[in-house]
Amino acid sequence: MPPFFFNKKLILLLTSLILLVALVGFSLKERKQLSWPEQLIHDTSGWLQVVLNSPAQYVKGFVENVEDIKNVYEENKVLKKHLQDYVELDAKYGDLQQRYTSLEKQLHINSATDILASKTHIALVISRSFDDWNQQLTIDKGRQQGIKKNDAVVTSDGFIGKIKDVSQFTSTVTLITAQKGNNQISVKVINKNGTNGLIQSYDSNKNVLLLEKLRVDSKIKKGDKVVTSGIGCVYPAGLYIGKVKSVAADRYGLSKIAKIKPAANFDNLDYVDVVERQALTCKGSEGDSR
Amino acid sequence: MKQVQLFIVLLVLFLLQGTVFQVFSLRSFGYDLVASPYFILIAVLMIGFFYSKTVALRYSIIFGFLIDFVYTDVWGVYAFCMTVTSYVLLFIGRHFNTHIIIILLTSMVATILVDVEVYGIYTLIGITKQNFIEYIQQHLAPTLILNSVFTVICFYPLRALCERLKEKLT
Repeated sequence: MPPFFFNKKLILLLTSLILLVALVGFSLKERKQLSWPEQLIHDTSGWLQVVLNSPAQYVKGFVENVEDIKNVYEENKVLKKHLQDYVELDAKYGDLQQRYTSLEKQLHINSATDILASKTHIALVISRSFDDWNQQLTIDKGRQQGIKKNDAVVTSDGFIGKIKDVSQFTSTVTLITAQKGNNQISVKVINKNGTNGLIQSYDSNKNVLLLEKLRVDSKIKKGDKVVTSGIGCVYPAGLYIGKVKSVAADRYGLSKIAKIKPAANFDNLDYVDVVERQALTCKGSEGDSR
Repeated sequence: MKQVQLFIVLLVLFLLQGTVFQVFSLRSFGYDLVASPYFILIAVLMIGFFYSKTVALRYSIIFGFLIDFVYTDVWGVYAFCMTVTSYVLLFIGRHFNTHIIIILLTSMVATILVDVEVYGIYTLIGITKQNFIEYIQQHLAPTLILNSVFTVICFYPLRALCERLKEKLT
């Protein structure tokens, strides 16, 4: 039996180790844009993934529909109740909207700087990384459809992440459930005082986002709703993130930490909305740390 | 290129890992478990056993990098782990016979090795902060079961394909 690693192979192993470290270091670096071979790989595999993914989604949708039929009656009762409230709310909203625009006109506010303004693209999720560690999606819209790096990504339930890389016809989304510190979002807690804050990280064990460094006297309660504030310069304002689950003092008792339960369901993603900020964006980056 | 069939099989497996198996993932059925499919690794091992070791290692590098580019943030981790693991196992495996049980055991060992290696590297560079016990319960055990089942299912078709290609070669 020949020796397990004779010299040439040992050297090969060491070289590939060095290469691995170099590659990891290179790819962890923040880059502005993907190179064209990468875009080609992403687009080609994206196109092939659509072919496999759509039948799977279809079958799943069918199974879910069958399950839904079972509780249609119950749901219908609840929805009817909501519908009455909805009409009321709608009237109120129309009234407020009217007042808001007229006030805005009186004050001559330039709508180009409106941090609420946004543009939405609907996209289909075509693949997802298969290990739990890379929280990454691929969607079927790219630069050609007007997607830009750092756009916010939401589902009908709430905020889920941001666009990380854009190719010509596909783009990659990092979810806020990723561990690598790219989930910093400047948020506003909707209560009487309207506390602003910055979401710092995600706790995967408890499935909560951590809103840290709140003032001790901030009056945040369990159940308060949390939306993006838009003052972080990257995401538009008013995207719903979730509800406050609990509030506690931090380790030293100098500030408070609020735990936010994200509203979106990260396990069942099929269609997502990519929301582009229309107001000016600045170079400072909400969303990236380090 | 005589091995175009092998390439297509591997490509389909590569796509399956990220699409169909994510639509029907354990998470989407409400379990807090993750089963990563390592179909490329298992297919590469079988190609190594039944066809040719060099071809197997070449494909392991190509598809490892594809996985890194398409499904992950960091380059080279899967390519490196899969190639080293399959090299070592194919090196040792020369002395084994190729009964289904032996192949199953080998692929189980390979799955564990690759999973632990990737977990280790990702922990080092801070992509995951899962602790080890949790990792074994939530990740390694379901992964092992999924990949063992896949090995049993794909053993006979893949072996037949490899042997047919080998006959053509000689």
